[in-house]
Amino acid sequence: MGLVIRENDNGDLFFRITDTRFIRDVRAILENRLVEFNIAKRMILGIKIALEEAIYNALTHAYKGSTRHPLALIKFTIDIKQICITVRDYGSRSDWFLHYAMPSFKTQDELLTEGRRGIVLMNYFMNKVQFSQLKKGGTSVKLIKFLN
Amino acid sequence: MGFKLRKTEGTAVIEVLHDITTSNIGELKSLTSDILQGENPLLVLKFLPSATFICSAGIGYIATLYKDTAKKNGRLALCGMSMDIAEIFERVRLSHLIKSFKTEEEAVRYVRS
Repeated sequence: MGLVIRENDNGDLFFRITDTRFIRDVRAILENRLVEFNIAKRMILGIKIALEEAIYNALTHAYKGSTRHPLALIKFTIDIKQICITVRDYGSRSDWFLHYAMPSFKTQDELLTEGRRGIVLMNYFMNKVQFSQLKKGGTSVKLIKFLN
Repeated sequence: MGFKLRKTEGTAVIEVLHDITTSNIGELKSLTSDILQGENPLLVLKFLPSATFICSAGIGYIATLYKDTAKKNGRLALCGMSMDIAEIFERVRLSHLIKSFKTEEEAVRYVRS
């Protein structure tokens, strides 16, 4: 199935993605949309990074130890006030993000240990990062960037 | 191709031609695996202007490279980073640990010193 894209009448974009290989396609499509809206280059870069991290987390951490095939749904909306990206997964580890609290990076070991850097980058580049455990299973990550 | 390897003054210089993302980290890993086989590996990662983006997995792999070169009494340095990439390294505090230079010459001089 790979990558499925849909757009509704409001111009909201929806992606269905089953493999990390397709993250760059989603990123490229959203980048084009942000350029159309004259979003500043620097803001676009930050959004691309946050998006990459959220989708990668959804397709990997959420499905660790699961036999389910990874699946992430991405919704992108933009209006005059804000850009909102929601990334939803159906993984069995719906509490994965609880293990990825903001690190302190105080010691050299912490600095060199892989993991949790994505959380740092998402929080740095976006104004709001909201994780939710969904009742039907899975996780939703909402990334919000205010305009102006 | 996202990376290009060449040797200069006994130092492996890997040019980063594009963004480092989950889709091309494998290529970087296979390029560096031979370098890490030898003793005292000297490695410079040179970011070209076309590289504007690095994801956390890419940063994680560079941290691993730093550890692995140090374990073998070698050295790793970065050079040519855009302000945006430098800022990302700053946010995850790796700029405090991994040396970064403006030019390739400075980076090569450092790893050879």
